[in-house]
Amino acid sequence: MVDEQLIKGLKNGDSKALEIIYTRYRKDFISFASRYSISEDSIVDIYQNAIIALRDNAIKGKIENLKSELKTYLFSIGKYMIFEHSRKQQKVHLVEDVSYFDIKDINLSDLTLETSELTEEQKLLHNVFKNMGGKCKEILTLFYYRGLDLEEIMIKLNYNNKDVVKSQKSRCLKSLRSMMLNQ
Amino acid sequence: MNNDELIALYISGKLTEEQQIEFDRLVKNDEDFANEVKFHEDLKVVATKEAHDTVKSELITIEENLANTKTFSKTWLVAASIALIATLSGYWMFKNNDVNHQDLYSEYFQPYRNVVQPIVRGDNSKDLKYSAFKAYEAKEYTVALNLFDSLLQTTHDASISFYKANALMQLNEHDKAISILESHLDLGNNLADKKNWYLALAYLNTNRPEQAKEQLRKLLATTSQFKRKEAQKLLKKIE
Repeated sequence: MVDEQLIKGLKNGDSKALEIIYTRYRKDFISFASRYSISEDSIVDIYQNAIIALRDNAIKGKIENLKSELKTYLFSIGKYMIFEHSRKQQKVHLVEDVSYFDIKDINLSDLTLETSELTEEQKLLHNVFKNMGGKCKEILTLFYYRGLDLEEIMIKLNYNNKDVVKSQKSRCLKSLRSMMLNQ
Repeated sequence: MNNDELIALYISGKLTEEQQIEFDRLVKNDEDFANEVKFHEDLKVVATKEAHDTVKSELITIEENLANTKTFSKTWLVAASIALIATLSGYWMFKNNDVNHQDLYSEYFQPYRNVVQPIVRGDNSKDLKYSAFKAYEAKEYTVALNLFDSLLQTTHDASISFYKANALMQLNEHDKAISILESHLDLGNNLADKKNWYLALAYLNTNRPEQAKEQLRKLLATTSQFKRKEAQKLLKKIE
């Protein structure tokens, strides 16, 4: 598969595309990353997070017209994460030029994975959320994570009426709230 | 346009300039509205976290299947163990006379450390186990929980259930943890005393002090040295 197809696959949640990308660049990434003094476990962990960030960007439609190669883009994310990791370990004082990351398609915000610690409230909500029924979880994920609006969700899930999606979504929110109260 | 629609547009990032002004005004002046916005923002964070966790589990599985070429260094394991032991010893310092059960719980609860050695990577179930405990030690309890569940589909190792219960407690799912620990897990000598301790804490968290006391007494009736001092102190505080 060429880059464009892979990006499309990632965007649509295609597991095969995810696996192809992961496997295709894994070895190169590890050898690229091993010049920094990080354990292989951490490298693999960072590589996985870089793939997740890549997928996020594909989903948000940020890399549809990628000017660089997919590999270059992925490695920029990975490299940034390596530096962040090293900085946190305080092994490295970064004086690296930011322009190093300056490939045309990328913003600083695309390089990170927003996995900061959840607040206590968010943890409770997460517990409830992940145990929700499949349909609700799907709709809420499309809306809150993928950022689709009701019309886009209607098309994606083959509903024939926007109002059906709307009432389904508010039922899901209602049951989410009542499950929160029963925590 | 009602408030719900306004918030929905905000979450989708599709507010017009005019709507944005109205939105900002409401957030500033209407507390209920602001709270409602926060709920939806939290949900966005949570849905993202869940999506990331799901992909992470998928990637870990892919990584497992590539296992042929790699050997993992175990340095992280040693480091994690040292860190855990250090944390555990720190617990002796704690003293608190408050009898609030939740507070006591938070004071004493610490997920049990991994004593299941991740061995040489070989067949698939061992690899899954390795990842599960790796996630557990990295405090990625949601990931660990998923992997423990996968493991338990093919094995009936009681110690896996024990760690699953620990992960559940960390994720605030005490009722589920209790039903696992209450089921007659055949844990052998190594973990049976730990089961009493964690069951006691789970009961404490769910406000069942009598049952918590019973478990602590059971633990103290054995010759086990595990959490002996803490169990004595905790028992005194509940009584």
